[in-house]
Amino acid sequence: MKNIITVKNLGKDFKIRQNKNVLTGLWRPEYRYVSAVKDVSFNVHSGESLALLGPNGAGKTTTIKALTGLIYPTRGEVSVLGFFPFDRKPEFLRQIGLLMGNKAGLNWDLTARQSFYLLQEIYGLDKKKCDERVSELAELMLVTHVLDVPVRKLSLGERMKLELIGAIIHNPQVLFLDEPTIGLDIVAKKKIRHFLREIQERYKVTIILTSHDMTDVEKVCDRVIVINKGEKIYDGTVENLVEEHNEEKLVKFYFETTPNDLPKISHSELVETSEDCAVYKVKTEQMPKLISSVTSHVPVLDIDILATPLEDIIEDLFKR
Amino acid sequence: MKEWASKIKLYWRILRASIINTFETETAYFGNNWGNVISTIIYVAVQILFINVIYSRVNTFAGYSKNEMYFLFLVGQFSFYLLWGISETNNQNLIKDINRGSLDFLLVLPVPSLWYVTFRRIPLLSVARDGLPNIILIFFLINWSQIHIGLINFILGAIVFIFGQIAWECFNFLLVLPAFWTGEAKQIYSLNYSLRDNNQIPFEGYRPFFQFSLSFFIPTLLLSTIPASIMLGKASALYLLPFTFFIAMMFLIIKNKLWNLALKNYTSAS
Repeated sequence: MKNIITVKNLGKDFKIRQNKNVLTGLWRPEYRYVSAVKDVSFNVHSGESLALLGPNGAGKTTTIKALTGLIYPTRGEVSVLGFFPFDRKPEFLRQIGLLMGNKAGLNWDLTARQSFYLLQEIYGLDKKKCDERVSELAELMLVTHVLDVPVRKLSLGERMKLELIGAIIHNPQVLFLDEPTIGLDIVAKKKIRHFLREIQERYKVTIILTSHDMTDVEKVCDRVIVINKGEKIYDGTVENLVEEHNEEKLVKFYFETTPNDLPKISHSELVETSEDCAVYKVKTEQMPKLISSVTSHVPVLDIDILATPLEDIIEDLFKR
Repeated sequence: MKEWASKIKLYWRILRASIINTFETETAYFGNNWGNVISTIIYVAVQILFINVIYSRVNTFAGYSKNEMYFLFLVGQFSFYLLWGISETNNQNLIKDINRGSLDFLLVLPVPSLWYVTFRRIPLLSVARDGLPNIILIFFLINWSQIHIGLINFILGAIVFIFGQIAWECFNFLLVLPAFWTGEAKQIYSLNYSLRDNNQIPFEGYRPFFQFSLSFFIPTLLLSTIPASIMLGKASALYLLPFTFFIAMMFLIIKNKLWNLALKNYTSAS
């Protein structure tokens, strides 16, 4: 597969005003420099779906902004589709789409269809083809009925779906998504994830996504880059990440009757109990010992063995 | 040549779509549409009263008769609404967009960003609704038989007028740019309202120092006072035309350079 994004030692520093004293700050402001991204390098192949993960302030959004040409990198090299993004060449901008979950791209006072008309002219799209594409995407997202409703009157979920249609109306090669499901209910989240997978398969779009929702990552992305404090700490497939860091398992026991007491087993931790079940976190190699001890102590109806959730794995990575 | 023609065609299509979008936005809140008309009519009425008070005591002011003063006022109002239609709405929106980080969505569009932020909204309805009644009112206040405007002078004055609007639009735009560094520029931008107020005073009323500095550094006199003076045959276009052209080009270049510099400092608020 063709390499379409190359990032080498990317760094971005911001000058932040910091005044402890409100009055002296009026004529003698103090500044400090913050490295939002210190040193990040990676490549992305055409058609890949990549998630950038990290806690708040890790540098994920800054990386996306450098890739889309919104901010000028302080150091390092960035190349997207053979262009330096900050040059903002029209040939480059025609090939990318951007959606930001915490910002509104569609005009608040207009209907989505009215905003799409402007996009159609800006991207120089054929009216008939553009209308067909909007209809097709709106049907996929189940938002056909709100295309002619002012954006300000829509629910957040409907608005985000329409924002997404606006971001891909010109059929971009690379789609950048910054927290696309933020604040959405579970149904809307599911729809957007399904839609992203659908367009990735149908139109071979390369997806670069940031999210705090691990389900977004598991459902939409094949590859994960974990960034913490402006530096890359993991780069690989989602499966590898789970496998490499799955040293522990969660074992859930369902009991016939409520046990009076539960056994304490070395190398394991009782993380949850209720009347008829208990969940232990245990090292994978200690699992047979745990099962044997519990089943000999209390009558057990059923056992579930669960992999450590991706969220816990990522949290563990951040702590390291 | 063909490439240029297709580019111009594309820009025209975008401009037309923007105007339609702006019209739809203007009409989205029906009840809000007429509020501004009253305030602008009051403003014009006060200005007319002021001119009448002055000319009840003197026959000429800085060499201008009452009719010539009305003419200057007419050119000033025309300039105001023209610039309001093009730059005022867009500059205020730009400050907001920089502050909130929504400029991101404009910067990823495949059009020259400076051109797009300058022309993306042209509120024709608001300009026509608020500006036309006042301009028509002043037009009919003027006793046209009492003032002499030659065709050549009118054309030269109109060309100077266009250069003046370009220079002032660029100057206004420069007042927006601090938002890229400070995050907000509403108060800095509001300077333009007080700075442009002196364009109702005849050019001939200023001392040479102010004539130069208010044309070169802060180009307010290029807005209406110099064009009106040329149209009325009071000032010579011979040196004012190339001078205004130079100022307009200078401000255009400064605007372009500082825009590129500002974009390098854009932090894109999240």
